[in-house]
Amino acid sequence: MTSERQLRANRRNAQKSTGPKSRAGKKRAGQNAYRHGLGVGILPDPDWITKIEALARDIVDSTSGQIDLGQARSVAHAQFEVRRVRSMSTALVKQILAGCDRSGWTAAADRAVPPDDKEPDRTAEAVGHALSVLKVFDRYESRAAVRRDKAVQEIIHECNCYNKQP
Amino acid sequence: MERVKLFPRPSKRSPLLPTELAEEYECDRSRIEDAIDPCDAIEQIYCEDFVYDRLQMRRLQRWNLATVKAELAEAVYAVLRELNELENMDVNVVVGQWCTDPVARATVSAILAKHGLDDSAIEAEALRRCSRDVAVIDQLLTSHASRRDKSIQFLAFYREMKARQRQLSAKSAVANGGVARLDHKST
Repeated sequence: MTSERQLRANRRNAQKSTGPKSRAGKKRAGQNAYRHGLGVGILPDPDWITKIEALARDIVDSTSGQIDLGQARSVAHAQFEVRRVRSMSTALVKQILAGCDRSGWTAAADRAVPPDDKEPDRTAEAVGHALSVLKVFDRYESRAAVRRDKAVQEIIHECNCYNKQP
Repeated sequence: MERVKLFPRPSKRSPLLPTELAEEYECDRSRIEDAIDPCDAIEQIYCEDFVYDRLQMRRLQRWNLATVKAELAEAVYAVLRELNELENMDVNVVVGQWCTDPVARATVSAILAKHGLDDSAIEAEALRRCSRDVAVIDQLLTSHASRRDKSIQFLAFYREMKARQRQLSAKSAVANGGVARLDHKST
């Protein structure tokens, strides 16, 4: 445990610090609070914009123009947020499983023989790592899904026919 | 939480893990799609949700089982130690082979019966040991189940809205005289 004297010295030294000086250091320190980037929306990436636009047009076309393009864009954007969280979550779990690969993890399709007795141990180990990550992603996925559902609900209410008496 | 490597452009990757079979997933997906029969892109979105949540739930159920299974050997050891029965047996053989060997299993069952217990004591101990992970899995399962149910509710709501909209447009078309009336022969 840090002694009281050491603690005081650390605080004194920290007062002298003026932060990173080099460009690389500043860039690195600028990312200190960055964890997974799910809190921010989809960045204006041309690839994403094209995909969102394609889905929005698909929504408009498939509903025979009952939904206008602006509304369709907001649903498509929200849906891509959901897909992004899901995709990242799956990729991360894959990474964790790949970490267990060293101990003999084999893809189900590549298995020539049934799983051995140690498979539950390896799975449990991977599961333990993956669960804490999945819990975080689940929260973001829920939020993204709620945003999308709200966008769809707005369309339904704007159509304004649900509450109308026939 | 430690910093994770990002995937800024998640293209259309497979939602499956290397340990899951693509054929099984595709079969399940097409069965769900056939049952829901999405008519437009919005319905397709909710159908996609249902498929994804179902996949996640099956995965979590598998993980739940694997987590408890992995603790069984330790649980056998812990229960036997608690009952002060470790001296009377070859611990490595009995504990190590309890899951696979019926003889070892029978030996442990006999010891447990002597103390008024049965195999469920081992399951309970295994569950207690991994209860933290099981609780998280349970939370995630609940979350996915609720989203899956919500997607179906939304789908129903959306279809109802569309049906009413069609009913309204049909009625207004009739009211405006745009449709020829067919009278019954008897009247």
